[in-house]
Amino acid sequence: MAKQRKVYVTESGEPVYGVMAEFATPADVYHAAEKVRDAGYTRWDVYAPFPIHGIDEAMGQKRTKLPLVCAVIGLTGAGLGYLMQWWMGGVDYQLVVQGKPYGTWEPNVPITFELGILFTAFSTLICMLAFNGLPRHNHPLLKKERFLACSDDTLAICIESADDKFDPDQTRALLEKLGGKHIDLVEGD
Amino acid sequence: MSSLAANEHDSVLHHGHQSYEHLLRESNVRFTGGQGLFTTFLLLAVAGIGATIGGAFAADGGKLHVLASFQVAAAGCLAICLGGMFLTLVMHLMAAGWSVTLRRQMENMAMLTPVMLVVASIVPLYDLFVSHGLLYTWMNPAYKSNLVLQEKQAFLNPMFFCVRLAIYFVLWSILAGMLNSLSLRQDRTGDKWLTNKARFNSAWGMLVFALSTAFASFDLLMSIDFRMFSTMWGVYYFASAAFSGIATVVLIAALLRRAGKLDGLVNPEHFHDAGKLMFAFTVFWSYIAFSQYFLIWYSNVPEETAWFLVRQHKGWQWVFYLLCFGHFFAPFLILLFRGVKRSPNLLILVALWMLFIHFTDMFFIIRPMVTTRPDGPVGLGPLSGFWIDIAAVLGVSGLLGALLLWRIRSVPLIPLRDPRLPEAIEHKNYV
Repeated sequence: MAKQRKVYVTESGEPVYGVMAEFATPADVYHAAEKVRDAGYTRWDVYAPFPIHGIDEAMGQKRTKLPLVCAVIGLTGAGLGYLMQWWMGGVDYQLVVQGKPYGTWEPNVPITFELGILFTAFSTLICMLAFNGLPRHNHPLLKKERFLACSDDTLAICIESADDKFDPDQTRALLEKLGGKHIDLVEGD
Repeated sequence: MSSLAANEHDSVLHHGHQSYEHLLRESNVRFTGGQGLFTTFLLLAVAGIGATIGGAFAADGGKLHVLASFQVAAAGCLAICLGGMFLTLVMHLMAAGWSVTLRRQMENMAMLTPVMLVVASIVPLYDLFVSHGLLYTWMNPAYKSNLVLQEKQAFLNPMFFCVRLAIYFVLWSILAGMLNSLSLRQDRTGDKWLTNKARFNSAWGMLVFALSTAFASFDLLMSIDFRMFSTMWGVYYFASAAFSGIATVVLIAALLRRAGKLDGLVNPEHFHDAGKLMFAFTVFWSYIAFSQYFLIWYSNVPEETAWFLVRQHKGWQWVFYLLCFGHFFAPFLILLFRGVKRSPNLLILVALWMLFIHFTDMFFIIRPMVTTRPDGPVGLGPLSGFWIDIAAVLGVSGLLGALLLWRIRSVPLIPLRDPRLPEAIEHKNYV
């Protein structure tokens, strides 16, 4: 049941994507993330030029469902691999190879294994990209000159206007209280 | 950049290394309880080994059966100790920080390797000098004219066999003593360079370990049926050692946690990584066990297939299937779950299952030999006289348990002054 969200626009009529604030050190952004999490925000992200250990926990992120999906697809692949060989060698085109019995399980193991790996590898890559919303050609933040420094020496938090708790003034005030610098509106949708 | 930033961030979240002193309090790193367990282990050892010997006079037993059952138990327990030695060596070689708080238990297990070698040498030496090749057929004068045996005479002869057993004993005593004394000396002196010394010695130690383990597995297990030869045999026994070794380490650590020890020193993060090793060696054993079986099955050379043939008839095929299920599928599928690896209580169950299936593996290797002798009982299934095997496994593992417990009680539970101790305490899986 989708709640009707308020749509914010700037004075010039551009939609508001969110509010962005910069932080100087990983420790600052880490503790700020904990506060944003505790304030109940759900649609926001931390931007950093390098991985920050433990940031997932500080952001209150749930564990990814990727392993489960990959396990299911991988086991399906292994099952299909076995089924294919059993049907081809044991049912459809029986052939005597070295006097071994038809449809025996031993020679099927390597290819069953290979197909399990193949399906798991592909599903890991494809589902990882899908879960992350990739590939993505543009992002409202990229229009911000200051944001580009997040690929070099700046850390930032951006809270999106699509968040239920978003309020232009209160969100800005929260980020200010957490020690964010250069707090700015981000345009775009 | 990344690691610098992470360190800065760590120093904010943690309070520096000084504050860990309270974790090293005597009540946390010394285990003084377990008297009841020790007595139980001793009783189990006496009763189990007694019942095993009694099996020689039972209707469904016999001398040959008892020798085989005892060797199942002894080879299984020796593998556990070798696993401890391997893990100690590999942790030093990799300069592993996370496992420092678990390493003392690996060292304890390694320390018992020479003792368990003596236990595992009882049957072959008895067979060599007293019963003249009842179990180890190559020692039997009746096979002296066998062509295959004559080809292998240069290796399989009494003199060289005894020399090799002595060499294993010396090498493993040196390795176990070296690993333990360096670690305990660091406890006393706090000399951080002993860590480097242990690492350097582990380099040649690993080579010595690998070769001696492989040859010991030829002597203690493969030579039981002198017709069998497999280049994978040494790796197979090593895989069993690593498999049962890590299970025992996890079992000891989890039980010590339940006894209220190692608080703040061993936590779910360590169990998570140890669980990954359990998973890894499950897969590794399966990989090489299947490879060995697969190549023999495929090439279909009678000299080799004979070994598997007797293990696929008269009920032995069920042990084979049990190994497929219990040594691979069950631990593989269970240990896939992150929650299991992070739960010490669940890992206790998994580790106990792994030890059970490890002894089943040794049972599968050795015990069919009882019924393949032309002059022995022919074609009996795995369940005939099964109680003797259970008694032997319980007895010898009771002995190992008592020795391990004695060892655990007599040394600190962790390397107290290892320079990587803070790293181990702060260890965290970020995924």
